[in-house]
Amino acid sequence: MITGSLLILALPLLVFTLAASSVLWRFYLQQLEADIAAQALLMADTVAPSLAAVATGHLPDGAFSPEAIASRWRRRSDARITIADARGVVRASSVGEGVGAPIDDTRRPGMRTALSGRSNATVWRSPNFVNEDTMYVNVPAWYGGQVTGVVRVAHTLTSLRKRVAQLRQTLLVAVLLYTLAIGLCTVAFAASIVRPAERLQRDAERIAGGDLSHRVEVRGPEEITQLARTLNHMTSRLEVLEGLRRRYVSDVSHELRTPLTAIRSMAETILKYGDSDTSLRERYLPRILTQTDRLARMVTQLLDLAQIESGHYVPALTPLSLAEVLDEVALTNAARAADLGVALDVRVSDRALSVRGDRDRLVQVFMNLVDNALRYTPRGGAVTLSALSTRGHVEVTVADTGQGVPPEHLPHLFDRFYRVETARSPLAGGTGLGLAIVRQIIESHGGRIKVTSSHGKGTLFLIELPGASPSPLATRSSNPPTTESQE
Amino acid sequence: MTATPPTILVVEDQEEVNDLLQYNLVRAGYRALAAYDGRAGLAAVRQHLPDLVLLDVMLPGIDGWDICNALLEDPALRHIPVIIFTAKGSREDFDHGHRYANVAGYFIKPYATSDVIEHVGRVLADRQR
Ligand SMILES: Nc1ncnc2c1ncn2[C@@H]1O[C@H](COP(=O)(O)OP(=O)(O)O)[C@@H](O)[C@H]1O
Ligand SMILES: [Mg+2]
Repeated sequence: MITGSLLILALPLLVFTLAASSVLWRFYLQQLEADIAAQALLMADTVAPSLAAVATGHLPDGAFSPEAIASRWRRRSDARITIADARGVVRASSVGEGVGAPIDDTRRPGMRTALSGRSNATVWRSPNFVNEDTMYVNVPAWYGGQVTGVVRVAHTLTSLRKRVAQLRQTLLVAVLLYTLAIGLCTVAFAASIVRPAERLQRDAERIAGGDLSHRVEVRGPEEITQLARTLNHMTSRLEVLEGLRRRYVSDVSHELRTPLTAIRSMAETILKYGDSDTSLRERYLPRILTQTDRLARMVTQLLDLAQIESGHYVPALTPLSLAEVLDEVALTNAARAADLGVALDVRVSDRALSVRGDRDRLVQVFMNLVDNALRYTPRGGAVTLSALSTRGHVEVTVADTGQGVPPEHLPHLFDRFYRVETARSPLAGGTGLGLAIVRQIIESHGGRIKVTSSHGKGTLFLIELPGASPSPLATRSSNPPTTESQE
Repeated sequence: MTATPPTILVVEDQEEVNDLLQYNLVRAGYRALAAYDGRAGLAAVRQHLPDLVLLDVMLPGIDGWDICNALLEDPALRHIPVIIFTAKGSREDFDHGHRYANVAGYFIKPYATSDVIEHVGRVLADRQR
């Protein structure tokens, strides 16, 4: 491809060079002809009187003889002078050739034409020496209204030809060097783009192949390094995400295998020693049920989390009465709270308080929070749900008077599988997924959740949800639609 | 059978899993000791010098690998064989186990308790020779 474009570049330059040298040659030739003609004319004027004397036999005063003129030119190598009289007899020659003989026009054309009064110039190509071309300029010598002879200046074109040839050569070399330089530049430029791009592609393929720890080399021209940096940034993020994913899979594996281990050990032991030790059944069969339930709960919660986190989950936002939602949660937990001896109250001053949200998901949020609160609050304590509106937001709190959370655990409380109590604790029925789900749901609603706790005194979860204007709710609660247009 | 039975220490934080391992060990004729976290486990090894340790990797506090290291660093404890339990079930944990000279076995949860007891017998028999 590069050779092709170089040819396209070089060809016009070559044609130009050849044309230029041919134009130059013609220009030099014309120049030379004009120069020689001027010299010949000058000489003809000078020599005309003495040539007239050849006819009259009388050489006027101050006239130069043809011999004198010719000998003055002897030293010049390129120009030869021949002077002939009116009869066509050569009278003088700067090279002393053919003096006294008649003009030989077959070899040196145009002299006789000049004798008839017409100046002429010819370039004669020597048949013997290819390079010995000669320009002949013949000029008649006028004296007293008569042609008294002819002056011929012959000039070999060898040096001129040489000069033009040299010029052409120089030009050709220049074109060649220029093309070569352009070619090299093009190749270098292409390489500077293509090679880093190829390297980038190789690296990108390696990363795409799964080697997320690999980074591309940031080198080369600006555009490439920019791309490389972006690619590295992207890979870093992918690596972080992949790390999180791996940890998550590993955590899930651990969390599922742990209850399975207990269930298997219990079943296996009962099977093996149950007959000889009847206490095993009594002790472990209920535990098998509990662990199985917990496992089932965990699977449900994991699926819930996966669904909410998948990015496909967009809560179907409808205006909801918060009081209704909280009442429902309290009602569902009333029997359990009574059993545990914990007071469960809902305090919502403004019954019209509403939020936009997915009703089932918000019920799930408060079920989880109340479930926790009841679980970690001893007999005689209280769990209170309350809601109030602040600056376009709705704040819901779930407060308990329970054991609280030690401060070092607070930052992790919403992490998946995070539990404060160890597996040994009798309260180990939890999965550690409840609060993770709660946070995901709240955040998908554009809300926030915070927790404050003082160890031994109680815990308070504060949820901030974007509020909804009460009018759509009012509309739903059987007010005629005209109320809106009346405002 | 006048010789005292070999002592096995079970370091496992899941209470009922730990209890069941002890129960099965005792029924198989061993003396069983229990620890429910890493620190207690290490202390129990030092105190009782058991013949073998059954060790869960994921423990609160010091984890299983740290205990392996601690045992290897102590000339009095480095010869005690350790059988590892893991619930991660990832290749990495398994490969990790091969770096410790005292690891004599590796079980992914949930395991068959009978396999574990069998393996304990095999490891102890190997040590005797
Ligand atoms: N109201 C509360 N009082 C004290 N501790 C709590 C409360 N709510 C949650 N926690 C702590 O946070 C942990 C995580 O809660 P959660 O994600 O709901 O998991 P789970 O309830 O299944 O254990 C719980 O194990 C518990 O230690
Ligand atoms: Mg919970």
